[in-house]
Amino acid sequence: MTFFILLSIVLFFLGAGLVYRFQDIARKSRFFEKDQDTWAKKIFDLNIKGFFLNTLFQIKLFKAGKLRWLAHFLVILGFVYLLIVHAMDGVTSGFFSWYQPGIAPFRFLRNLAGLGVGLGCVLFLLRRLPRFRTNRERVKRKKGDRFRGTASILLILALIVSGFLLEASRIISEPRFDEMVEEYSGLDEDSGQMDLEAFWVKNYHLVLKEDLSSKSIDYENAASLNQEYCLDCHDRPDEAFISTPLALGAKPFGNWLARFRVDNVFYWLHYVIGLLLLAFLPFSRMFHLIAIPVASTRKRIRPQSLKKNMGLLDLFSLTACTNCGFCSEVCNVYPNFQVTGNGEILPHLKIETVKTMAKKGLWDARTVARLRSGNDDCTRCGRCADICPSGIDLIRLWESADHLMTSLGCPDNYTQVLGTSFEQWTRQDLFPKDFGNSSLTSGLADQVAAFENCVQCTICTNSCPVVAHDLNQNDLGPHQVMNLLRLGEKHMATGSRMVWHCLTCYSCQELCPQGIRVTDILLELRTQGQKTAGQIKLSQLTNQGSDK
Amino acid sequence: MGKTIETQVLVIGGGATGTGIARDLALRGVKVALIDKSDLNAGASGANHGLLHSGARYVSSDAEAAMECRSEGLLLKQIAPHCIEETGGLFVAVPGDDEAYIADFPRMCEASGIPCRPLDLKDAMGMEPCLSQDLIAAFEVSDAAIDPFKLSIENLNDALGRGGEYYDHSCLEEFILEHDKIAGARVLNTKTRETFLIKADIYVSATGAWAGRVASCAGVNIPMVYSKGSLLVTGQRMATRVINRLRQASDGDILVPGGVVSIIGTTSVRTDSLDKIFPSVDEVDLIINQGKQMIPALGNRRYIRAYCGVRPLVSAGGDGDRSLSRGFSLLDHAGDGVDNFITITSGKLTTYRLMAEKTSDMVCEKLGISSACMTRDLALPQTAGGKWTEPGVSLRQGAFSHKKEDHTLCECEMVPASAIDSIVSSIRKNSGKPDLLSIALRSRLGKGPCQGSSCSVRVLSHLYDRGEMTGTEGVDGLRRFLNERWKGEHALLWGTSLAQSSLKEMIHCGLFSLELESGE
Amino acid sequence: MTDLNSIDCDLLVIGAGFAGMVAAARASHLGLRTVLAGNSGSLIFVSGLMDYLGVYPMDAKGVLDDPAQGLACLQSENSTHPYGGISHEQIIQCFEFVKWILGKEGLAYHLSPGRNLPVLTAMGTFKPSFMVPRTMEKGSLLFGEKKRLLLIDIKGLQGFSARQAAGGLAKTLDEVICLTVEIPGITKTIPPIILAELFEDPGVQESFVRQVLPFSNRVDIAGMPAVCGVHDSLGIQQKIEKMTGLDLFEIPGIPPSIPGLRLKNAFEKRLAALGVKFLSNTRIKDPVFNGGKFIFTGVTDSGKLSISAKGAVLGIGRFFSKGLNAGRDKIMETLFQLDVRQPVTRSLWHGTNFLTRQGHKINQAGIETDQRFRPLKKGGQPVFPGLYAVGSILAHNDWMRLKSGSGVSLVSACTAVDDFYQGVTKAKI
Repeated sequence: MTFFILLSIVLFFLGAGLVYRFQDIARKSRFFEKDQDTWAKKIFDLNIKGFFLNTLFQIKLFKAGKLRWLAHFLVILGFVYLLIVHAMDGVTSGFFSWYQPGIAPFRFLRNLAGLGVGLGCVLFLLRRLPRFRTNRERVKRKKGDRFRGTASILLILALIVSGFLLEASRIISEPRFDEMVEEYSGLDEDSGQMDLEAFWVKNYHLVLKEDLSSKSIDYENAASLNQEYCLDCHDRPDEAFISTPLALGAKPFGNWLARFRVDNVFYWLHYVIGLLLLAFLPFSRMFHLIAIPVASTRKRIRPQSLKKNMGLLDLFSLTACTNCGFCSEVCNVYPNFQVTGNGEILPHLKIETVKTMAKKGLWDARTVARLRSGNDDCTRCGRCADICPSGIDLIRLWESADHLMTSLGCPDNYTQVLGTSFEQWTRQDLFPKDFGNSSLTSGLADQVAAFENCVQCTICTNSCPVVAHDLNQNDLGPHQVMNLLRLGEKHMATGSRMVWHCLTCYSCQELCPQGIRVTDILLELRTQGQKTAGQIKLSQLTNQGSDK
Repeated sequence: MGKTIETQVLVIGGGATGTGIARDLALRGVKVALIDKSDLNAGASGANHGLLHSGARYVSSDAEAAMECRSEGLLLKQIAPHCIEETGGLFVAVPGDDEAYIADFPRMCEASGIPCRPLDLKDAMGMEPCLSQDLIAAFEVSDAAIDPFKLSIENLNDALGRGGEYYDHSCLEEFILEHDKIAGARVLNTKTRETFLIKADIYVSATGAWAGRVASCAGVNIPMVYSKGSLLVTGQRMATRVINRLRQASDGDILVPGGVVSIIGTTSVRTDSLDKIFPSVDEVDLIINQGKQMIPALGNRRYIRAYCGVRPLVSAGGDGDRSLSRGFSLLDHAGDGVDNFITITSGKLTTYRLMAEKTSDMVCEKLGISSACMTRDLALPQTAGGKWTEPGVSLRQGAFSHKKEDHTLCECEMVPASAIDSIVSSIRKNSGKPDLLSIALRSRLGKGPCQGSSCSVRVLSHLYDRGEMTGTEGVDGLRRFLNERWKGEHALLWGTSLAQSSLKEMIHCGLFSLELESGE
Repeated sequence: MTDLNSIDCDLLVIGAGFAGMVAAARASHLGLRTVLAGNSGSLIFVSGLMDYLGVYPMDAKGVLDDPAQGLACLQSENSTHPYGGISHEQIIQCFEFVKWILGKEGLAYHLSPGRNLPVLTAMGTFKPSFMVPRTMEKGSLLFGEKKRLLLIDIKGLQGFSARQAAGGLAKTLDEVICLTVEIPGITKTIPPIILAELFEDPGVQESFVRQVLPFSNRVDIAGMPAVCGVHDSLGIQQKIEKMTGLDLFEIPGIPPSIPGLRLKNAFEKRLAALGVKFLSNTRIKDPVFNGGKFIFTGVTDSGKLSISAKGAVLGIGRFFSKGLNAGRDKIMETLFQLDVRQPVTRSLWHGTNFLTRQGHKINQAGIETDQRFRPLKKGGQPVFPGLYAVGSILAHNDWMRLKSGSGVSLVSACTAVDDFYQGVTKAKI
């Protein structure tokens, strides 16, 4: 009864937790538009093959890393067995009437499954040791996240260990034996209970308080009693190849264990851990057990066909991220991270920030600005999405994050530049004028000699395909950019469309009668402008934040 | 004989002082007319550094002028902030400069009440990286840069808004003398060749170097000597602050920022001529050679333009008792037998307001009007017509205007068509006739490195398109404009400037053949 | 790309301006293995008009109707001018050569021997020129017969106003009508080269014709800015003439100049066809004369190469093209450091009147050569036997005042190359 109540509570927690997580994602996410009509369509737009391949065989993980796949496979296989055959034995016995947990081969299988899960967990833990990590994995992660991951593994491991301890302690437990005898045989002291005890001591490793060696035992009677009352459910325990050695090892302490009913302690422990696992599943790393299958049913889409926001199922799939870090290992622009040190370039870190942003919006200007810059560095090559063991459509996520950031007032540098006013570009607090300081900087745009020979002949502008293409929209020609440099308005020049639209075809530079490196200067301005635009953006975001 | 204009006061000379007097009097309710033989700031008001002195430069030579500069400078920063860039200033000395002067400098500043802070040499070079590495002394003072064109335009606009009148290109032909008074002034419009008469109660000559000539029309002799001073404009702004050489005033020792450029000068050359004066090659070289001692980069920078002005100095012979201050000369010619004629000359741009105040006081005394001067307290209004003289202002208006139906006519200084239109309409409003010179006076047109090579053509065709010009007016105006620009170019044509001026000559002589039909 | 590639040739032409282009064309036409190095961008600054001699002497009252007259006068009193030792017939031959070369690429020029043509400019002034693009030819008819003229400007094209160009014409012509044509889709300014490219679009041509057509009965001839296509300008012009029934002529204006761009394109194509190796944007440095040969280093953005040549033609232009460099005290020639004939001090370089008819003394400065255009040493001997200086770098020729720029360039280029060719062939025999 207690079990049932507890189980009910836990199941309620589990159910409520899952509902909470899902609706939390949907409700709080700024990705999700409530009136999206794609909901229904998407239900049928399932990737059944992906679901099976990835959920059952974890085919993606296999491609990504064999050892991790092994660990996962061991855990999943073992756990599925244990869950279905062991934890839900009531159900199991309904299907297989001959099922008994104590008989062959279930005892063996249970131990095997437990071993598998245990091994898997050990592999997980080992991989978490710094020395087994790849360089890219050593990239800082959030502490809480790592802890949650490790905690989940430890919890599973504890469940397995407690299970083995429970079995071992029950093997040698006299009180347990007595309860069973009382319940199933009705034997008493007179009708051969002692014989049976002796038989179990001999064959089933039972440990008794009293020493029976001085008593005369009728083993034939014991065997028949065993046959009659026990053998249906209890084979010799030797095939429990882990629990039995454990029990044998614990034998010397058998009486002490029996006195404190340690077997019952382990029983509760095992049970409570199991329930805990279940209850916290939606809130722990283990949620990916549910999220990955969901994610795997989603068809991957390409940016071309991207709608503005993500669908609900795509949102759930976000939670499938296990922070495994494979994505970052294959990331195309990892070198950018090495140069800039911006962790928001790496997918496995970026996704966490994106998730936070989806919930909290512009909660921290600096982080969002970093995320913007990291996401802008991304080439959308798709390698991260290809390798993601959880099957998350990362490309779609990055694109959606782009849209989200823009709608939050944090556009990409290009949009930023085109939307920045003169006042912004000439803000003295951001860009103090440094007249005559040019000798201190090394860029072409800072060296008077690089552009002072410009005679404003406009050949560059006349030869420029960008100007020709965009006659009514382009703001400055290359010659005007050179002139702005002369006038000491480098930052303003950086903000011109010319700088950001330049194709670097070098027509202007080839034709310049004064030998000015026009294209090189434009290119340099654009490169430096990435940083400048970032500065402006950050200052805008900060102001926005302080306004709120 | 054309029309006759009647007014209370006729001010001759549209420089800083003349426009200042016009505003001062207009504020006191006096009806005033202003004439200039060419246009605003044609004399020394338009040919100076644009430096608002802290006064420190005069602490040794003229403590009184130093104090005047200090108080007027502070005042102008209050009443005309839009004409002033508060840059701050440095006084620096290099090896070879008079060490006794350097040692005495802080004490002299203190004596005149001029704030002056000694600087660590490293700090000074950090503040202005263009400075020579060999500095031996540096002080910080509160110099500032002032836009003399904007100043005059705003003064004039305020005067016009209060009932004043302005006639440009109106040259004084003669004074009609009756008894001890001037009864009228005959004036020739040099553009239309029309003559007209202006009758006033009081005649004020604020003609700077031309004071002697104007006075002679009234039969008054003012002994004057002229000192020509030349200045150079660099292609880029070189420093944030004003940089003065810490020594007795000499050649090429002040560098003043003017928006996006810097101005280095001056020289001092005695001259007899007032009209055909040019910066000479020798002067240019002198300024550069002197200037590069404190700012080495001046030795190899590109220069856009040279220009010169004439400092009018009233000879010390006997007139000292009549001058209110040694800084400027305010002469009441009643003693010379002309009752209603006043001359104001000399002085400094920094003290223009004080000069205008003292002059207006004298005018009012003569008119028997007792109203007090208001320019000390009343801020100089900012008007639309005055905004285009400031270097860089066009950037704010035009550079990011890809959405606007506007286009750039002057590439170097990025003057948009809308600016030209607004200047043209302001000239028209004042019944003037726009041409390249009058537009250039009120904007940055032609003041960039190309010195009018192609902007002139673009502006002309724009004016023709707008119907502002007809016939051959454009090409005639172009010749005048190019020759005016040339005055400031020909002495500094080497390197890139020479390359650019050859392009200009290729266009205007090589192709347009402007020299073939020139009237000269 | 730092390995030193090397090229061997007969003649290296340094400078890809007008003079350099003519020299290279002449040399390869004569069968010399020719290399041309320089930046042809400077051709976009030339008006496309080819002057012979428009004014002589400089302070003469009017312009020369017949350049031959001026030449005779010049040769009688000023033998230092580049034309000093060259006959009128030789000069005409050189013009004909250039006309022929350009004609091969479809760039047609018009020349009437013994007559300068007055060319209407965007400023409304007339410039005397000699050989003009066919697209400008009809403009000179304005003076002969009194005509009714339509002057067309184009919205968005800066620096050209029909009313301005018409400024001085009202007196001499019966009727002058000004028209502003709008190009579809252009709301703001349009750079001239881009406009010229747009004119190659039949749609733009049709729209142009539609706007001009209403005036076709009221006028006989129409003038427009020189933007009538970059390629096949004459063809486009003739097409528009046919559609409007009007004679059409182009009017030159401020650079960038489309007629100049057409020249650049025609020369580049012709030289490629003639087998000239064109080292575009290659800066020539460090000349060495050794064993009767020049060795030069060519520098590009991506590396260096070595060029050995039997002869060299220096057509590197003046200050604008950096062939001459003026410091504060001295004018230098930038490649060979040849002696530059120049005024004694800088104060003599320029006069105080920009538009003086006498010209500025600095315009007379340049390289002094013998009559075969070989630069001279102090003693009057050629610096190197195979070195020639051509074009605007030559001394004693204020081409802007004399209206003799292209003429001196093409004559000096042809004469120098012919002389070098004779030297080479003689040596072979």
